[in-house]
Parts: sequence; C-alpha cells; structure tokens
Amino acid sequence: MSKENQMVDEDLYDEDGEDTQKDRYFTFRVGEEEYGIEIMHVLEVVGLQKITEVPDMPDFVKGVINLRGQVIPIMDVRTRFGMETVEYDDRTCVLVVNMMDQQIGLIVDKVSDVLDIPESQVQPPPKVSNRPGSRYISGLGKVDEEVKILLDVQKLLYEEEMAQVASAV
Amino acid sequence: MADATLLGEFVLDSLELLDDAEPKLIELQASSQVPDQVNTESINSIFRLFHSMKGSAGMLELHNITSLTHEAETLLDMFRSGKTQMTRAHMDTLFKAMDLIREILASVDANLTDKGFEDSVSGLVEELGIAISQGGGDASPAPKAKKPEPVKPPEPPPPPPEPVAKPEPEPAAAADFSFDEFEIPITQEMLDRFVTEADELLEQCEAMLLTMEDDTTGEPVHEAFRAMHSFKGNCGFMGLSDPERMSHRMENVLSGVKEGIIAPTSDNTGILLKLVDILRDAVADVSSGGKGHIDNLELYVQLLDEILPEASEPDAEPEPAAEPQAMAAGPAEPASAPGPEEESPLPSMEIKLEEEKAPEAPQDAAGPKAVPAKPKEIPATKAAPRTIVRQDIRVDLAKLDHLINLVGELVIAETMVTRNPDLVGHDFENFEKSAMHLSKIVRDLQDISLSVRMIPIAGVFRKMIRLVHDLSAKAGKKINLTLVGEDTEIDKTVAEIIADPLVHLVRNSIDHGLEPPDERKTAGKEETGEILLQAGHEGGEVWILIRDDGRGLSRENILAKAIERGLVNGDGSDLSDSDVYNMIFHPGFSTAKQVTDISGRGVGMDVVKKNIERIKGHIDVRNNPGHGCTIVLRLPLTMAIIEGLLVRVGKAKYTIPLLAVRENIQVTKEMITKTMDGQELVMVRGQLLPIYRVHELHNTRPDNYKLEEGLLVIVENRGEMACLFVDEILGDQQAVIKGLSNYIGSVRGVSGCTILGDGEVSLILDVAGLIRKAQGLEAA
Repeated sequence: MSKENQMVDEDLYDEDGEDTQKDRYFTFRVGEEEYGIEIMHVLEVVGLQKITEVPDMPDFVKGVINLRGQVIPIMDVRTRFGMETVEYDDRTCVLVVNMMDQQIGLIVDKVSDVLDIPESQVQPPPKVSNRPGSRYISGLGKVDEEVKILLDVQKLLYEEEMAQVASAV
Repeated sequence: MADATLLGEFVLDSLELLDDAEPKLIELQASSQVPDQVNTESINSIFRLFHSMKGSAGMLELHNITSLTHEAETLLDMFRSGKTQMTRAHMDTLFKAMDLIREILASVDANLTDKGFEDSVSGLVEELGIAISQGGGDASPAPKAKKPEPVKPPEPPPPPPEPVAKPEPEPAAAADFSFDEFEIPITQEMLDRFVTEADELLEQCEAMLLTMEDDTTGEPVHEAFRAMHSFKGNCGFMGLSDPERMSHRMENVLSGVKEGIIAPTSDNTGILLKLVDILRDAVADVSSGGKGHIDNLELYVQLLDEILPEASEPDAEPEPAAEPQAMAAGPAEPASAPGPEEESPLPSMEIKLEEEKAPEAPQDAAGPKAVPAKPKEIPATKAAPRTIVRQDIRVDLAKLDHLINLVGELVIAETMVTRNPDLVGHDFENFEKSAMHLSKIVRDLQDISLSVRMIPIAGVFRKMIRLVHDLSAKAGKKINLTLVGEDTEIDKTVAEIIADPLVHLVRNSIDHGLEPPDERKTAGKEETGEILLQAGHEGGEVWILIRDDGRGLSRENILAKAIERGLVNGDGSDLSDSDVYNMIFHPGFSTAKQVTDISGRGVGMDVVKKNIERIKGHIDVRNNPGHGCTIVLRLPLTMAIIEGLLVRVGKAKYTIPLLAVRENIQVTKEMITKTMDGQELVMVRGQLLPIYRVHELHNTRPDNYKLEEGLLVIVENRGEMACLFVDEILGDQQAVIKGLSNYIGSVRGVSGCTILGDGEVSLILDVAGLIRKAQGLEAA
C-alpha cells in the first residue's frame, strides 16, 4: 500500500494495518447506484486530468495519465458496466486502485465515503443477471436502508480483459 | 542461525567468484598443456576462490559447500605445488564441482540452506578424493568411475560443526608453503579484493571479540576464530608475513579460548582487540602499497605467547624459522629489526602499559629510527589517518531504479519550471541565471545517475569462455575465442537481456557455423576455428559483433526452406540477400527438422531477435559464404532517454525517436501519387515513398486531412523509408522513456511513453511497428 493515501484516514494504518482495513469499503457513485470496493485496494483519489489516448485498446480503457511522474492506465467504469457515457464534469474523479502491483485509475461519477460494512451485512450477488456489469459484483452490502454494490476489483480490472484487447487488435 | 542477508551476500559473492574463476580455469588448462608454463597466478586465484568460499560457507554453516570446496581446494593445492599435472579429467571434475556449487547456491538463495544436496556432494567429494589420492598418476579414468569403496570417506552429509574446523590447518600450511615455493604475481585487483575482505574479516572478528566475554554459547569465539583464520590464510597467500604471523598467534589464542584452555577475560580480549586494530593498520598499509609491515611485531607475538599456555604451543612455528622468513619477506623493511630491541620484552608486560604503547608505536617508527630505511613510504602512510576506504558499495537495484526515475522526474519538473507559461513575455534576468544554473545541475545529475546503471560488458562476455570451452569439446571442434572491447559499458538491463541471445548466437556459430577440423583443412582454413566477440560504441549505439570464420549462411538453403514453409511467394530470386538472411529470424523457422541441412543459424533465432528488439536494439546479419558470418547486435546506449521529435496530430502529441527521423517536408498536390488500392506515395528526390497517416493508424481525429496542409516526417527503419503524416512539428526534446503500464501491455506502433514539460503524457512512436502495422492494414 502506498503511503500517499489521501482520502483514507491516517489511523487506519495504526498498529494492526490489514486488520483495521477489514470490512471497510470505499464507496462511489456511477449512474444511479452506489458502489463499494475494499479499501485495501484504494490508493488515492485525484481529479480528472488530460488523458492521453492509447490506440487499439478496448473502449473502457480511456488511455493513460501522468500521476506524479508515473504513467497509469485509466478505465471508465461506466463504459465497463455498459452504461451510456456522460460528459465528464467537475465531480468526475479518478479513483486510483492497486491490484497485484498494478496501479489503475477508475473514472467514477463521484466519490462518496468510507464505510464499515461487516460481513454479516453482505449478501452474495444475485445469481442470474445478464446485465454486463453484474459479473464484477462480489456482494451486496446493506448500510442502514441503502444497498451498496460491492465490486470485485480483480474481476473489474481483468475479467475478459484479454479477450477484449485481443479482439480490438 | 545465519541470517538471510548474510546468506544473500554470500551467494552473490560466491557467484562472482565463480564467474571469475571459470575463465581462469580454462586458461589454466591451456597453459598446463605446455610444461614449465604453469600459470601460477591462475592456479592461485582459483585456489583462493575455493578457500575463501570454504571459509565463508563454514561460517554460515553450509556444510555441503564447505566439504565440496575443501576437496577442490586440496586438489588445486596439488597442482599448485607441482605434485600433479592438471589433466582434462581434473578440469572436468572441477567444473562439475563449480556447477554443483552454483546449483547449491541457487538453493541457498531460495531456501536459506544447502541441505538436500548431500548425495550429489558426497559423490563429487568422492570423485575429487580419488583425483587427489591418485596424486601424480593419470587421473583420467578415475573421476568417471565411482568406486564403491572411496579412498577418502565422504564426509557425512549433515556434518556437525567439526568439518569447519577440521580442514583448517591444511590450507594454512598450504598458504605458507606456496609462499616459499614461488613468488606470486599479485595484481592490483587481487590486492583490492584482499583489502576489502580483510577489512570485513577484522570487523567481524572485532564484533565477535566484543561479545565474547558475556557469552556462554561459545559461538562468538568460533566466529572470531574463523574470521581470524581466513584472515591469516589471505595474508599468507598475499605474502604478507607480518600480519600473517601475528594473526597466526591470535588464532592460536582464540583456539585456546575455544577449547577452554584460556579464559576469555577482559584482559585477554583487550589484547586481542588491540591487536585487531594493529592488523587493521597493517591492512591499511597494504592498501596504500606497503607490505603490511607491523612495527614491534615481536613484542606482540610475545604478548600473545604469554597468554598461550605451554601445551597449545607445539604446532606453532619455531621462533628461529619465523624470524628469517619475516626478514626475507620484507627486504625493504629493515625497520622491523628495531622492534624487539626497543621494547624490552618483559614477561610482566601489562595490558595497561601496552595500551599506552600501541598507539604510540606507529609514531615511533615514523621517527628517526625508521626514516633512513623507508623515508618515502612510512611518512606517507602515517600522515593520513589509517582508514581503509572501500571503493564501491552494493546497492539494491530497485533503489537505484527509483533514484533514476526520480531524476527523470526532476528533469521534467525542471522544464516545467524554467519554461513555465507564466514566464512568457517577462524578462527576469536573475531568474534566468538561476534557471540556467539549475538546468546545468540537473543535466549533470542525469548523466551521472544514468552512468550508475552502466556496467562493463566483460561479465557477459566472460560467460562465453566457459560455453565455448564446453561446446568445443562436445562438438569436437577446435575453437579460439577472442574477446574485444570487454570494458565497453552497457546498461545493466541491456546486459541481462543480451546474455541469452549471445549464448544462442555463439552456440549457433559453433554448432553450425564452424566446420569440423578436417573439413576446415579441405577448405584451406586453419584447423582451429575463430570466434570473435567484439563490443564497442558506434554513434549513439553499442554494437556487439559475433563473428566466426565458418562456412557462413547459404542463401539457397534458406530460400529453399522458406519456400517450403510458404514464407516466400515464387522462387525468391527477386529477394535481396539481406531479406533472405533475415528469414532465419522467422519464428519457427528453426524448429523444422531439416534445420541442420540449412547451414544452421536457426535455433531460437526468433527469440534472439525478440529479446534484442525488446530493448530497442537491431540485429543485422553479414554473411560471407564459405568464409564465415557476422551477427551484429546494435543496442541503444541507454534505455532511459531518447532524443525525440515532438509532433502533433489533432489533440495528441507523439514523440518520434530522432534516430529514425530523416527530414520533414511540406508537399504539394503534384508530388502525391495515389495507387488504385489507396496507398499514397510521394516523390522525394526521385524516390517514391509511401505515406502513412498517423491518425488513421491510431484512430484519432487530425486537424488536417489534406496532405498539403500538414507535414510529412520522413522516417527510416532499417533502410526502409516512409513518410508519416502529422499536423505540426512542435520541436525536439529529450524524452525520458516510461513503459506503458503492464495492464495495457504492448501496443503496436507504440514503444512507450514520456511525460512532456506540461505534464501531459506523449506516446513514443515505434517507427518499425508503425510501418508494419500500416502494411498489415493495407493487406487486410
């Protein structure tokens, strides 16, 4: 994990590190729904900046940006979910996640909060769904009366990615 | 027990030692074939390799390595003393031992133990033992035959700590012996290594001495003893009689402590610590060119003898024998004589007295008594504080890369500041001055940080010596390998990546290029085939040549093969030679079963090419049928920075490597021709060049669709010229190359990216890939 965690509270890293991150989710909004990903994957949130397009990429890979001298790829979560695209506005954010030593920026409509969602409050994902986004769901988390869609970052980033890249080339 | 970092260092050191020793062993064989020309330096350095490895392995309790190196050492000692002539079989056994050690080291690196190799080690130890026991006799049949009853019983696989101690008396004796036998030519390199190692050993010994008092396990004493023992061995080897004598006594004392004969009182450790300091001074003297002379040596020796009880004395050299030796070793140092006279060796000499004397002693020597003898050297070494300066440090490569990355960012940040848009239109004299100064420092910093990654290619080349040696025996061909330009520096990553391709290429030269001796004779060539490995700078690149004087490539055979595989349409007679030769790089070309029917050059050539291209290098084939073939690897000097031409296409800014750019032109309608399949061509000085539109290849929107409104950049890739259509040229700049993320993988026509002064990411165009892509698109 990077030390540059800006959105995440400092005290998260006190003493038992990993443990305090358990069941904590970083939530954000895409379209009408709130989504959450495990906080251990989130490095930081940055504002949208100029994206350099890279040819021959699947449509959800928008290109690359310069994050303090590091070039990281950017994925548009809307496109990934098969939703219609919208104009980026000043609330559009890049959520930088770390997965298997690979940093990737996710474009989301708006970042929301860091929430504790204990395992008992998480339901398994619905079995049958043909919606393109459904295969990235790891569970449904209940917070008060609201439901957060919890995402499997690994699947979000990699599922069928190879096939799509291959078909694009 | 031994911690991981120590083990890691040991593995690294040992691998280095092995790399050094292998070529020397081969040299040795060459020279031992001619009687009376035994290359003592080589033998000694290999001996030293095994000896120091044994010492370190013993310390780290790697018993398998210890027993193996011990046997190898004993065998080498026999050559050294001239008792035995080295034969091919001996060499093979030693090579086997080296290979096994490598294997064990790999396992040590991974598992932090050398357990699990007991069987193979005891087998080889047996082999070595047989070779040793046969002494002068012909050893050739022996190493192969594993006799059921070994002459020397193999040490039990996981031996208790004894083996460490057991072999020790032997090499010490050997070291003395060799010193008397012949003068060893000591190179600067050996000297440097000795100094560094000695420094480490003394430090280790000191640390152990300090913990010895409060310790009950006896471990520190062992460690101190081992360190002192290795130190003594090294001194003996280097012919430094004074430190050797003293460390020998100290070793005796330590062994006394070890056996419980001597109590580790604070008085005793105090003396030992003091003497370690004196040894350190001696080493410092050696590092500044001296002979490691110790003033008042006799006094110290006596002091130690007093600590030693009578019983443990007998194996020490008798006094009179040591005396003349010390004198003989330091003919330039009669100053050692005044020592014993000056201080009356009172038996009641106390530590307290000694403590006062010791620091003074050196100054005394520098005084009037010593001046006539050594007026030049002693003042020089005394004037400066006697410290040993290590000339290198080991740095984790990841750290280094991080540093270089940061410097790269600094370069970008510097441009951001000095060319800040806010400054436009202003004239700040002082700012300009400071900015210039900053720029200069940043450039220097960049140059230096890049040079840090550069290593001589010698390491890669030297591996080939062993390869050629092994293969020449296997293939039954006589080969003479010549290395040129070993000191050429290349990027460490480049060095790592070209190592395998070089092995392939050299192997191909031997397997397929060079003919067997009789065939060479018939062809009117020398029986011994020549292979040349040459490295050097050529323009902005490093060139590596692999040349052999074998039969060369056969155009007909390659072409026939290519036609058979459907790589060529028609009979291929229209293809140029270089096109034909380049077919050997075609994937799978080599895997065909008739590969030996072709004049060779096929095994893994596509992999070679891929590796070379991965580091933005090129590979050329120069063939002279019947007389040999040369493969030229053209590699970039550094992988970190390129000169680039910044161009704009619509909103995107691309960087084109300046090396590929020939010129830019603006065209008029008349210069353009369009073929019926849509390919646009432009006539430039009588040459028709294809035009590729970057926006089409990269699927972006340009400002201009009309060729005459934009610009054409003429690029060249391996003699093939083409034009890239862009909107605008923004200028040239130094580009710090960054990889596109692994997530994105490789993109055709893009080799990487760089960050511009304004923080934007610019893709670096890969001209070769772009051209291929364009041609692919047309075909589709």
